[in-house]
Amino acid sequence: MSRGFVAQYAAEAALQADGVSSLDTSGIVALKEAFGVEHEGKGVKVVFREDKDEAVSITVYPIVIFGSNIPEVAWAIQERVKADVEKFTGLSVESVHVHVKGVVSREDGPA
Amino acid sequence: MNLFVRVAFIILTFFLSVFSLIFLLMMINNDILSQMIVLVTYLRDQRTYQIVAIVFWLVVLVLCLAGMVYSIMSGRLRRSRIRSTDIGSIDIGVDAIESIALNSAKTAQCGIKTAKAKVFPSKGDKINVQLNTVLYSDVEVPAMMAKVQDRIKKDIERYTGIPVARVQVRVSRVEPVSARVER
Repeated sequence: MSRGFVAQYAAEAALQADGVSSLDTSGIVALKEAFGVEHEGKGVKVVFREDKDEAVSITVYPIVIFGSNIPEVAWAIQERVKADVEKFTGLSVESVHVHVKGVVSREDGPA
Repeated sequence: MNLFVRVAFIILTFFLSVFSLIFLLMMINNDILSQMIVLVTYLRDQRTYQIVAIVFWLVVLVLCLAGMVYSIMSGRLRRSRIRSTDIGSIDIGVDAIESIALNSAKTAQCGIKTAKAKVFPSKGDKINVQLNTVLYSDVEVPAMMAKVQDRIKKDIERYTGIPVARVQVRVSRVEPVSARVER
């Protein structure tokens, strides 16, 4: 099971959570896109555990809409990502880390 | 850490001033120059003094490097706010806190034209916020800025749950009010 595949599910789940505007992509992804390489699951980092094959640890980099309570949004993301990835892939999600990258106000961010 | 760095700085600047004084004297006076050269060559020949001198200069070098690293690192908050739940850790980036401060300053309707926010760590688990603003000229600065401070503090605490120790507002410039675009 590839990392991009898991990352796509995680990204979709994170975007469905309330108060999430988008996911922050790193500069390397932008570089890859510039060269025309498709990067799956933007704004999500997936790490497989070395000793256990079936366990993954996921880091999500969301950008939150201004006016929402960041800890609550982060909890929602954690629960949703954990539930969705476990349901769709059958892997056991060991941890979901949320690193809030930014806040946008409702007008200038994509709703 | 802070105390250690300060002591290191004091020692370093003390040594720097002593050596610069000696060098100045050497440049001005020929006798002192020749005597210093004799002294240095004498010290160089003695085995124990050589080792002492090497250790001493290594300490000065380390102090210099530590001061450099500290002054580069201390500008902004690097460590972002981490709290962990049973699923994983939640990490609120510095950019996120800064843009909350900016947004709440701008929505306060206090005549702020542009603003820049910076977040610094404070004692305990708290943060300090510094806001550099450009205002319009029809603003009562003390009253309005008190309002902005209050708002920023409340907004950051409500949205992130991070306690805010201080909000500093600096007014850097005032623009004429004619430039204002009514919305």
